[in-house]
Amino acid sequence: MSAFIRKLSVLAALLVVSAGVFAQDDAIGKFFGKYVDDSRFTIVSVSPKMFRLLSKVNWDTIPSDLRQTVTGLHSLRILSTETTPQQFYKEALSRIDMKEYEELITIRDKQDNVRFVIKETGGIVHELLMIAVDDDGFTLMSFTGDIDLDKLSRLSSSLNIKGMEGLKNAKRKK
Amino acid sequence: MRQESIAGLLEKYWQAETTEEEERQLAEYFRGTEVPPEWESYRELFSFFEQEAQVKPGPDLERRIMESIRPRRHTAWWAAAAAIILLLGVEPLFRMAPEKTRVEQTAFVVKDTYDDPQQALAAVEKALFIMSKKMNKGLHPIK
Repeated sequence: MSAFIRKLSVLAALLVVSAGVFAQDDAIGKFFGKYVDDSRFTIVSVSPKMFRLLSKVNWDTIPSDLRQTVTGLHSLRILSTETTPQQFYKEALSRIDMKEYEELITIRDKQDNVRFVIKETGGIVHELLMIAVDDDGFTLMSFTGDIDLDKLSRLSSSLNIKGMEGLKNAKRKK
Repeated sequence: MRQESIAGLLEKYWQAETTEEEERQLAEYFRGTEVPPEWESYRELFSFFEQEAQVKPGPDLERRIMESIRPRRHTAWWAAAAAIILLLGVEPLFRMAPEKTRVEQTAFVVKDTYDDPQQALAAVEKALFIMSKKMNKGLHPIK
């Protein structure tokens, strides 16, 4: 009987632990939720549903590297603001549960302050989150899905300068 | 009683075909003194049955049975403790599960920014390139 009880307690303890893990889930969701209706923020959201619709787009003009990267993705959320970017950067960092996310890259120089963190299980990156503050302001950018970091990092090298400029402008506009 | 008829009864007895009356006759016969020596073992057997039949249950038999089959108090306590532990373990799951879906909903209640997949793809592309660019800045800072 007591052995049975002991097993039960272990099981119960495991359940409590797993519940704790659930509870910590989605700091980004909370962060996003908090500022969704805040007029200081610009929000871009591409839902999983929209990602499924992307398959209907004409892919002919899209480079295969990009196509493969996009195919693995599940959702995209961007939250950005030009108001007190440093403050939001600090807030975001403090809200990201580093038990859950793994630090990937940190960049700190005159213009940029960027953190890349990932959520990874079994060698597969499920979420890539960028927390950045630069001249444009504060940006929180989160991709979920099955993310190939190698491919992603190669994308920019296949891009010409003109395209980059276009991107910057496009981002500012939205 | 004649020895042959007893022999016949015994035969029936071993076949388990005797009536109660016949068994009583057998028991009576073997209680008697005229049992031949070759049947001595049968006499012992029947006297043993007779003796055993006299054994009556002790006065506290019922109490002892009830004692041993009554659910024991501390067993119930263990069960209660186990149930509480289990509930404590499971309860947060029930509490967390809806909370989690709520969080996810608020995360995705954010309406799709684009209705047109083409535009959405363009935005995804942009985001990917911005990330890629920043990443490369981190990976190759000297360039």
